[in-house]
Amino acid sequence: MKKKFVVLLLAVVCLFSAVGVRGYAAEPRASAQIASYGAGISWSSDGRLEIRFTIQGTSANMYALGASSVVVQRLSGSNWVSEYTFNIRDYPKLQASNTNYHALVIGYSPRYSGASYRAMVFFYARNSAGTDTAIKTTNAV
Amino acid sequence: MWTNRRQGPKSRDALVRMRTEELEEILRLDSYGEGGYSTEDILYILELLENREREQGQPCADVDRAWQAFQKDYLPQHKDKKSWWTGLRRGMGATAAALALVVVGLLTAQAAGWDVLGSLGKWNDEIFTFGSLETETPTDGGPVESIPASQEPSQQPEMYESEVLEYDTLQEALDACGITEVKAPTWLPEGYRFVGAMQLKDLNGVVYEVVANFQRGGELVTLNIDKLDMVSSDVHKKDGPVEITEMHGQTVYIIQNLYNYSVAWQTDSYECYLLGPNPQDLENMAASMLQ
Repeated sequence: MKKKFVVLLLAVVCLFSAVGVRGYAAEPRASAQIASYGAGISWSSDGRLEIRFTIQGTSANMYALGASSVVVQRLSGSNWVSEYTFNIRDYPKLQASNTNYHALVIGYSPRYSGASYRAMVFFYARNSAGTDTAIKTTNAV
Repeated sequence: MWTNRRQGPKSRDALVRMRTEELEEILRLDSYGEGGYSTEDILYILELLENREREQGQPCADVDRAWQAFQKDYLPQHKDKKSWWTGLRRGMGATAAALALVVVGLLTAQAAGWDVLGSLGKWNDEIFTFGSLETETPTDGGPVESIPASQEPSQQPEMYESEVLEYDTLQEALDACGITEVKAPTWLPEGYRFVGAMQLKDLNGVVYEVVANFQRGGELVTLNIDKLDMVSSDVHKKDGPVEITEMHGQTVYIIQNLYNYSVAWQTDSYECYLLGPNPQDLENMAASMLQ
């Protein structure tokens, strides 16, 4: 009888633990603004870094669609250091308005041609239903 | 011919002494619900056979052999309900084993450099992608130092936006871009019409992305065609499974977001995404592109 009680108690504890974990998990990222987003990086033939991003909004005329910033990072030892940041204040082409799609190709001359680089794109989308953001880190090249 | 059924179940010691053919016959009879052996005995026999195979140096992970053995010994053919269920239970174990072998085979092929899994869609609660599902955080690939980014780039960067493709039809636009692997849809939902397309070129002037819009009033269906390895895309989705279907030999994924759907597939060189409010319309469009 005592054994059964312990087993039952453990089962209840396990059940509530699972519910608890679920409750604290991040909310699913279904979005009313962003349908899809992507980013990529490669070396161009002239030695520049080519950073690409694309974003698809959920409505035909998004108020704002694109990236709020793009951070170029360099691998220094075992650390990624931010070498340059493209932000919307200095580079308004990062975003577009009254469209459902925005994409950009950035040609960037890195400080160290022999180093490994990657880019982090901070996506931003705004429409009548609100705003949403997403982050995408490219592979390293 | 062996007489296991008439003589009743053997002891474990007797099983050990039996020849491989006799043990296989017991398995065959058991798949018909005959022989009177318990599940534990059957598992013991399987273990014996496996050990004998290993001792004889025969490969353990032979998918063809496992499949043939499954078909021969475990496919339920008997009409008796109890026997069928007994066979089914055995079959489930064998199926799991066969699936495990397939998964191991896939992973081995992937490890050997064959991009078997790369062409498969992957998803979690939040996103669908043909790329990597790893959560992208600022610390991926190592810690990030909090050094402020430099204020000025060494050279003024260049930025290129998408360009409008001035063609009456999407097929003409795709032809002009040299995209032969993806065809324009020959079927559109009632009332929709092609309203324009854009292209994006890399720094070498090669088109790597084409986006086309089809419109009916305020409703929009968008087609994205992205060259592989140029942009790794994530599609937002609602929590829940992704529907998978096949169209003309092509695996197609149907993904639900909050207020719209995406239908996605991957060709040898491109990722294709259709985005719109009605999944059936998107499927029909995809089917017309893939036929």
